[in-house]
Formats: sequence, C-alpha cells, structure tokens
Amino acid sequence: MVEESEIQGLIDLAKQGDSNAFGRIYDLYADRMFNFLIFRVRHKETAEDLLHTTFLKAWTNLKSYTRQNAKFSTWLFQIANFTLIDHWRTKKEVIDIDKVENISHFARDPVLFEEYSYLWDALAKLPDDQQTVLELRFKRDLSIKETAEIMNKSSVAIRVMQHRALKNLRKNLKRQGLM
Amino acid sequence: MFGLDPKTKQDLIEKLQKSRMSFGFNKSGVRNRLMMSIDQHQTVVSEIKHNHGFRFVLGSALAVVLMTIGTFAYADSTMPGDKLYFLDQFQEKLALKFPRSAESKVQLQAEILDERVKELGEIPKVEDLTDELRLKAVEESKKSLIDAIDRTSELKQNVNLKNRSKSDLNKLLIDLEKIAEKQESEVNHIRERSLDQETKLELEKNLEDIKKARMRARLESESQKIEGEKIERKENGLEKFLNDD
Repeated sequence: MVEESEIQGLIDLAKQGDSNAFGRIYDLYADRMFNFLIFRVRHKETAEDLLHTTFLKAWTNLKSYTRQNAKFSTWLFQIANFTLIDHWRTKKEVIDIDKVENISHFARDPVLFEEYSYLWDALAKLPDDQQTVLELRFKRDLSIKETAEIMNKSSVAIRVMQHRALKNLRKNLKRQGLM
Repeated sequence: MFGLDPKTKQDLIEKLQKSRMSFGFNKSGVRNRLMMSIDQHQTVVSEIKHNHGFRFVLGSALAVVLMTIGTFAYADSTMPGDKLYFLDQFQEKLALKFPRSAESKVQLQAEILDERVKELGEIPKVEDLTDELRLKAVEESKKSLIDAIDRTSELKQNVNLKNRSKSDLNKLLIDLEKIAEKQESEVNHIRERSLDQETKLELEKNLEDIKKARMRARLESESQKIEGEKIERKENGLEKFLNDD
C-alpha cells in the first residue's frame, strides 16, 4: 500500500514540473489503473493507450488537484473513468463478447481467470455504468462515497445502481444456469 | 421479477472479490511513452509562454508604432506654437535622414518648404499667437527656403549629373523662387499686423534674407537656362556647319 505522505510529496514535486516524480507516481498506480481499464475495454493495447491518456491528463491537470477534494487514487480513477467514457463516445464501439481479445493470455493467474471467466462474461452483458460500479466497489474496494466521486453521481444514486447491477448480474448468471 | 436476498447478495459480492485479478502489460513501454508526451507537453507550454511573451512585446511595439504614427499624423497638421509642432519638424528631419538620392532629398526639402509657407499663411489667422512664435515660424520657414536652395545649387554643380536631372533641378529652382515669393508676401502680411516694433524689425531682416534667397534661386535657374541656350546654339551651329559642308 502506498503511503499517503509519500504520494503527497511526489505530487508537490510533480506540480513544480518534476517529471521524474510523476514517473514514480505512475509506477505506484499504473497496475491498479490498468486492471480497471482492461476490465472495461477487454483489449490490452486499447487499455494501454487509455492508461497513457489517463496519466497524461493527470499530468496536465495536476495543478487542479487538491488533497482536500479527494484522495489521489480517487482522482486518478475519476480521470480514467472519464477517459473511458470519452473513448466509447468517440469510438462508438460496442463490446461484442465474441469478438473480444482473449485476455486470458495476459492474466497473471490464468487458472483464476479460467475459474471466473463465466463471471466476466456475465458482467460484460451489464450496462456500462453498472459494470463500473461493481468494479469499483468490489474489485477495487472503494467506498460508496469514493465511487460516487469517480462516477460524478450522488451516494444514493450509487447505492441504487449497485443494487440494480447485482440483481442484473444474478439474472445473467441464472440464465446461464450458474446460480 | 428476480429478488435479491441478503445471502445471494453476499454470495455475489464474494464472487466478485475473489475474481479480482491483475493483468500483465507493457508497463515500462507505457511509461516511456508517457515521459515522452510529458516532455513534448512541457516544450509546447514553454513555446506558448515564449510566444505569448513575444506577442506581448510585438503587441506593445505595434501599439507604440501605431501611437507614433497617429501622433505624427496629428502633428503633421500642427502649427507653430502647438505642443506637437516639434514632432512635425522632427518627422521632417527624420525623413531627410533616410537613405535616398540627392535629387529626392531636394524634392522632399521643397515639399517641406511648401508646408512651412502654408503655415506662414495661417499665422495671421491665429489671434492668440505671441510675436515670439510668429517670428520663430518666419525664421523656420526662411531656413527651409535657404536650405532647399543651397542643396539644389550644390547638386547642380555635380558634373556627373545627367542633362535630364539638371533640367529637373532647374524646374525645382523655379518652383523654389515662386515659393519664396509667396513666403515674402506672407511674411509681409505678418509684419503689417505686428504691433511690436522690435518684432517688426526682426521680420524685416528676415524679409531681406528671403529676398536674397529668392534672387539666388532666380539667378541659378536663369544661368541654367542661359547654359541650355548656349548648348542649343552650339548644336544648331554645328548642324548648320555640317549642312553647309
């Protein structure tokens, strides 16, 4: 886990134009951000491009970040989520589960991936915002408040969305005879 | 409708948490791209800042130039005694300093002189002008006349000058004589209206100088005319001699 004081020191340096400090920030957060992005786009190269865009946006907007507003990781997830939304809006691309790259090749634990591939398939059939809310809440362990900040919605809206997402997920799994 | 009891909900949440996994990717490759993009971004920002600074300097310089042009344009219509009159004269001196041919400088001087004379014509109409300023305007006008005639005469002495240029200078001298005549008339008019005896005396002295300059211009132009006639006669004589032969 990254120490908040260490992060704050790096942010202060990066705000003064120290790109090496920002490189260190990238080293600390790149994996978490990439895993969030690849879950949503299911394509390694695209996820890498989006990761690059996310961190570049963070660099150019770093001066607007203040600790009082949100945790740095929350702020980064927010940028990543907006980057994803922009990506879908410009690409007009609908993810077709059959045409998706077999990302099992890139899973660090292929056995685990195989074990839960049915869950991935069921999740992929959910609406975008419901996929995001489940990813942030249960895979990234973010609070309702943090998820609300990232998705630019109220806490109540996130609770409702989470409830609907779980219901839909169960429905999808039941249809496949998996529950 | 599908319900969602607490147990099912907890079961789903556990499944999601257990399925949490990480994927391998080209972390250093993305990092390198990112660092390159940051460098480019910093260069662009620095260039924008530099350009902004340059634009600011350019804008300021342009503003100064426009203000100067505007001021000169305004100063052009000023009269002796006006606050910006000195700028009008400065502008004329500056124009004469620019590299240009001697003939062109003389022509410009004649134009300046013409303007001085026009100013003289306006002086009697200005009621609140002091005698000192009236005298100064006359002296400035006289100086312009003498300078223009001097330069034209000097230029005429140049043996390398083509006949056409000499003829143009001759026309200029005739023009200068006419301007001097007008100047004399204007100065006379000012003198008649002046109530101060001392100023009147000074104006009379200036009138004498202007007369002398006018005579010189006439002599210069007539000598040129005589010379031209001599050349013409010689050419005619030569032609006659050749024909007789």
